[in-house]
Amino acid sequence: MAEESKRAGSESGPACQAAAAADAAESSLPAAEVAPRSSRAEEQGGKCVFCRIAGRREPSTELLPCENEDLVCFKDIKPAAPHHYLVVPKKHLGNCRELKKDHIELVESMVAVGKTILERNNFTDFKNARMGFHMPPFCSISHLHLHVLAPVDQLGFLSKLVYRVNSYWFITEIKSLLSLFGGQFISSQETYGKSPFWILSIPSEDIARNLMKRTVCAKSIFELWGHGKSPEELYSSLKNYPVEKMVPFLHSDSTYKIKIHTFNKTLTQEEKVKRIDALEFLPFEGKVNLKKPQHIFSVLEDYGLDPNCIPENPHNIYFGRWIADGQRELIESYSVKKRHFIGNTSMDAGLSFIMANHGKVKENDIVFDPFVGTGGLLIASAHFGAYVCGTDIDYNTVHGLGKASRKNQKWRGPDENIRANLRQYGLEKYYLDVLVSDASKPSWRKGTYFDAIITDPPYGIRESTRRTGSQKEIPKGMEKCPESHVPVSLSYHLSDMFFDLLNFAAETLVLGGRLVYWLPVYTPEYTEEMVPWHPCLKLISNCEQKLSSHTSRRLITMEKVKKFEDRDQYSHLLSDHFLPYQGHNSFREKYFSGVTKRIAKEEKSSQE
Amino acid sequence: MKLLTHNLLSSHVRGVGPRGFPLRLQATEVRINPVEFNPDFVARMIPKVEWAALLEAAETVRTLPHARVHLPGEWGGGEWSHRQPRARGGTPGDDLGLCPQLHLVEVPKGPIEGYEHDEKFLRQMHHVLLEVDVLEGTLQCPESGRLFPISRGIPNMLLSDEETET
Repeated sequence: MAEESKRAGSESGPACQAAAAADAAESSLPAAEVAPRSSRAEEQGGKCVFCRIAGRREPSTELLPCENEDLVCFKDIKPAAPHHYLVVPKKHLGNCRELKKDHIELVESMVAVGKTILERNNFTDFKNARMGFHMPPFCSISHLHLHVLAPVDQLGFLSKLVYRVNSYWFITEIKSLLSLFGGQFISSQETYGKSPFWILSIPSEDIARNLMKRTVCAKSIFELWGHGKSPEELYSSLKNYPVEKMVPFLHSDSTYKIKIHTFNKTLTQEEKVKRIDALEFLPFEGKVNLKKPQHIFSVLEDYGLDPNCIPENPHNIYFGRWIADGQRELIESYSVKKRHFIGNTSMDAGLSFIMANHGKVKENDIVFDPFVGTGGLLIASAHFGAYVCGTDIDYNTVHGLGKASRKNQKWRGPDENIRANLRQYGLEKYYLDVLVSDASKPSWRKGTYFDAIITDPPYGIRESTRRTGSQKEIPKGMEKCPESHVPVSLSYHLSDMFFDLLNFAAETLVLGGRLVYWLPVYTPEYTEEMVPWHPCLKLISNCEQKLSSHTSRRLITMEKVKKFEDRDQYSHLLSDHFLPYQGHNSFREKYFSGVTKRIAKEEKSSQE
Repeated sequence: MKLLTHNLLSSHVRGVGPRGFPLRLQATEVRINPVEFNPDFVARMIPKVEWAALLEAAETVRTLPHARVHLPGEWGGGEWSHRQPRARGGTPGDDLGLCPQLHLVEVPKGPIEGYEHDEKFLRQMHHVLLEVDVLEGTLQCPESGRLFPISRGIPNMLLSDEETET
């Protein structure tokens, strides 16, 4: 892959482009705007689940009694509090960004309905209730819906995450992980790509720790005690924090230490000590222990993102109790540089972990990669406790033979194969099998046995896309390669390949299982309709990574929501929604089109 | 190739369809490979197993001549792919020449009531499904007779041009 791809998931954020999107809709506009066409398209197609619920076409959702004729009310399927209801207008409106002045009455009536519903369920302490809309991209469904939550103090504590990577990637990773642990988050601010800090509410400290055990995008998580734009604001916010929540960590038997972190600026030791002293007003009663304290508290100062323009005062200051660190060291310990067996297109370690998180891989799952190559994606899944298997059409790669991909090395050694890679990290017990097989002609019996399919199909640039085929289609002059037992392979149009992949996933994934794959895209022609579609698979996320000035690849995550029936494999012929991924048939030509243009320009200028 | 994988494989020769399962296993070299026992994983796999196919495959491995089975500890782990099996003297009383490990471990005939908590059952299944590794052999399509080779523990399921289903 081009150099930019290696930097994904690492410190230099600008290499990755953010494309903010809600779940089902994707837009190439900057994050601040949401394309209204997506909500209209959904409504017309009858695809909007809230429209169906409002129209009583969804038998599994019970509508609660509501006086207002234009609104409906029902319980949230993933409640974040003991009372969690949704108030939805019957008429389809997009998300909260589409609200205008004439909608004031509508919103007021929604709030009134929300209050009535709480009263009816014997909850009258409205100060302890919260109502609101999610800001995109945090809304899961782009049909306006008001969340009604109570009681708020049981909602869970506020925590803060520090992260370094492009935030849209981070958000989708966290969403997948939270759905794995059964939690929901509520965020009260909009951030993408601007700040390395993010404030969100998570139901419990345990879920926060579980999150940190998996995430590769987040650096650390803290329990937020106070924050502000200036030291004074921070101190007053700290004074407002309930003392009974502080005391368990500050009592006289405990040990603690305070750290000062500054982002984008270095402070001298004296400046740091001054800041620690300023916090004396907090009721610290324990002893300071700099080596192995029981509790670590941190002051985090945000001096912006521009290293050439460091302000005198920080933009934001936060104070919190450290809970856990993320898994960013996995990127280094599993680095491809140190791996025994690599290929030309081995996946970057950080990205392979992100893919495993998107796939919600957990212990004792079976994860399959139909384009396994050197097994990089399997390693990440095995690290999280899943049993792994894969197939590849290339005999040499699967067996670990042939020419090496490393510079200075001619042939592969005996320790270079997929099994040896797993052994290198102590994960050999998770190795099930690899086979030499054509992904377009799978040889698995009917049934659902894979919990996740995580793969990086070939784009036709560094590795060719191939499949086996009948003699008539073979162009003359191609020879069979006797040693590798591969029958003559012919070009495999990318659109067919993704169609086969989705069909295969729909057939063999367990219900709720996920398909995670990369889709190469010629950026000037990209539209969201190009993302392959299948009636059994729901699109969860679509993250972009730039490869070059006019190409990028998108990490697509889909979840199986419907049992596969035989007629589903022909659905693309019947549906007019599905526009075939035609442009990608010539992805290879388009990828190199920049090169041919440049060569033509150079020739032209040299002639002048 | 583990017997768990064999249990999931089917032939995709043109026109064969569901009659391509199960593939008939002929093993010429087998290795018993100790794998850490994980009762939760084995319990998860039990409902997915096609028992008749598993019993058939286990039987072909069980009846393999003694010399063609490599037991753990023969050359201290590590790479096996480039070595030949060592000649072995017979153990006294073992004139049947059957694979000793599988002979000792009974392959259960089917899932039993409450198998999730039955450690003995789960250990037997763990051994059969995950610890028996077919290194060399063939898989035969029951309908068309087509042979898929297994070499170095990796089956090759690629079809030639004529056999490809269109």
